[in-house]
Amino acid sequence: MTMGSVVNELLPAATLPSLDGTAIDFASFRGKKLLIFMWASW
Amino acid sequence: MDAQGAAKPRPYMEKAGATFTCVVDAENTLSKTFGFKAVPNGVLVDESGTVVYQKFGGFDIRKPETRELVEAWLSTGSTAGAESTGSTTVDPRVQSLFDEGLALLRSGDVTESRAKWREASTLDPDNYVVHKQLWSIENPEKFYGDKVDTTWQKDQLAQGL
Repeated sequence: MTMGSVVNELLPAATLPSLDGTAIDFASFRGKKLLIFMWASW
Repeated sequence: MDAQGAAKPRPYMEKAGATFTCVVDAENTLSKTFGFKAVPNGVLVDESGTVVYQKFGGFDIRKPETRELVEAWLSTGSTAGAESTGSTTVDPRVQSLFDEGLALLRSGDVTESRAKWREASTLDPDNYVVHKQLWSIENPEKFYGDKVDTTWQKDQLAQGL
């Protein structure tokens, strides 16, 4: 299994729950520009 | 990215009136999938699903250079000249200890959870995704009051804690 995200390669697959618990597949944004911002409360 | 779940990010999203999709990563999935040990991070993905830019650590839209990069990409599709960050491999032992600590935290055993995360942090001191979450359960008052106490964090690091 390839780990890590690489520029000029496909976005790694990931599915995470939204704030209300709905599963969001990163691949579902295909066809649009996507900005992923990763942050934390800590 | 919060082991403590949706309750932690929700107030920030509500206060900001944010309309973008927010997903919750309580299991450190993103850290191992993308390969990083700190946040805040930005990843730009084009319409074909290809990563065109990524910055791990220090991605802040309030910085003029970051804002200009994103705006240029949105209008032209180009990220020319912007230097991306390479991914790093997260030690599987560190992730295992994090997972064990998370299971303990969820079962209510905060003391043992802290011990696991402390062990993970000792194994990989540069892993701030683990280290800061350890701090946030040990010292919630430094994180969940009016604002995150970054002076306290610097002081902790200086003391090797």
